[in-house]
Amino acid sequence: METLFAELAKSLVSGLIMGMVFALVALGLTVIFGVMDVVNFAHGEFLMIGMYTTLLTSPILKVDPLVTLPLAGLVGAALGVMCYYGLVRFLLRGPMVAQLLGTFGLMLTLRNLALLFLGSEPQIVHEGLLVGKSYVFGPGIVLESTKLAAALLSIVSFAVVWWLIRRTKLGMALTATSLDAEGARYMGISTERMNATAWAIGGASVSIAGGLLVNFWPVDPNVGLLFTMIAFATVALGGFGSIRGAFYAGVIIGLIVYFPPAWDALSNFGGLDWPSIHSFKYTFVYLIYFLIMVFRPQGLFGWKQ
Amino acid sequence: MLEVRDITVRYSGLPVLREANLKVAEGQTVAVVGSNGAGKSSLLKAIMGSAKVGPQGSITFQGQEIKGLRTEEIVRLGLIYVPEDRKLFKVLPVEQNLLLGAFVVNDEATKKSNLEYVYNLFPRLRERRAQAAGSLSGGEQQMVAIGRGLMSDPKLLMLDEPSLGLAPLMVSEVFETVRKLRKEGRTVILVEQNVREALELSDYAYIVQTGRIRHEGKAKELLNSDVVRKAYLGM
Repeated sequence: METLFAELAKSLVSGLIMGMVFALVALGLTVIFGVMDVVNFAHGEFLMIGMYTTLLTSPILKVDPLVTLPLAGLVGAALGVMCYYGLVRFLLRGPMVAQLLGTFGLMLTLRNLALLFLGSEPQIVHEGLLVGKSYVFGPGIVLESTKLAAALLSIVSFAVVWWLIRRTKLGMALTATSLDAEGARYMGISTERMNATAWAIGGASVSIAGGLLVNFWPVDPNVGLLFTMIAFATVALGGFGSIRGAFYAGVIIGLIVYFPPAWDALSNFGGLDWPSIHSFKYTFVYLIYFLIMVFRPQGLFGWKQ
Repeated sequence: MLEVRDITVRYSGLPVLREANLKVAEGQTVAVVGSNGAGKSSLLKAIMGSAKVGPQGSITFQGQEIKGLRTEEIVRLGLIYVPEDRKLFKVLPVEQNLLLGAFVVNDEATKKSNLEYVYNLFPRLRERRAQAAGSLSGGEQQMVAIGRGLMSDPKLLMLDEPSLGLAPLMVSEVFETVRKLRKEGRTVILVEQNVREALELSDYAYIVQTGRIRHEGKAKELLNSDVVRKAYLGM
């Protein structure tokens, strides 16, 4: 009985923790879509670059991986701005399909550049203040410090972006641009600059998420695909362009990903011999994505709310 | 204050406004009238840099060439456009819409006094300041649009068909507002299909027909001219 509770509690806690990180991963996607109606297929590649930034700079600078997070954010923001002015700005002049193919091309480019320069071997952070440490709660719930820190710092980053968009003049300009770009220009807002700002915020937040993840999740040039899919499912569930939606949906997706272990634990405990679904954990995420697209395409919180 | 010289506007290759000339002096209310699709809105959008203007001609505002500037740069010079479709931020509260109108104003005290001015001009907006702009009636939305245009205390305010689609009572209220603005000494360009009302409250007027400015003159004189009486007033 005790092991069952421990298993269930572990799934719940892991789900919550990963959910916070998923929320931060999805935030950038929803901000960029919200401001300019562009879907960034290269979102996961920004995450991958954030992961490599922390992984590679921490031993060079001889600092803890956590200290390199602002750097990861900076690299992500710079990359976002470069992508906007170098590519996306031109895609906006074309039809919708140009944006899809354009950011898809960006995804392939970034991924293959990473393969070329960084190799295909999965790598992970081995040394750090929190690496390898863990807390034990109650009967057998082991919490890795790196994951706990990732969850907390994800919430902090998320809150900073939320505050920036909801409480500052810059955020007001972003909101106006998102609601009606032409109207925003008549207010004296440079919508071009707001678009670039959205890419900076999007790139920075997802790269910081990458810097947090690489402490316990191995990075390789293809790691972005999984997270792009998770981010799409999260944003679809929360509502495209909705920041609040991204947060709640992130947590829900986290819980869904960690539901199968709980299911298997129940099955083992009761001797029920239910089919094991442990290896299908991401299948449920895509199933949710599918269901939400069919039954509630505006997501839980509606578009751009 | 504003001088438009010899400009042509095209939409996908087709000219919608040809060789237009227009002059506005400080403190004047200038009407641009004509029927639907004559090119009136294109003229204002050309001034604002949001319609494509041909290479010839010039647009100067207070002596500065503004042709080719971005819309937001033109706004910062003190030229405000209240578009025909209003372009309100419908899900945001009324007050937030108004404050966005003062986006280029950096001084908080000025912003506050401008907001107070708009609320005094349209007391109904004060009552509804927390409501989503999109939930208001058409007339009230027009008040938000005009109020938002006044929030930066513009040097020149351009109103594009402010009476369009409104109930008769609201139409006269809109014209009453324009009259007040004129009395305050503001400089206004009023684009209207409602020829008689527009001419009655303006100093000077231009009549646009099928993409060309056909007539211009003092508003009172045009109001009594044969061409206007026949073509627009049905007399």
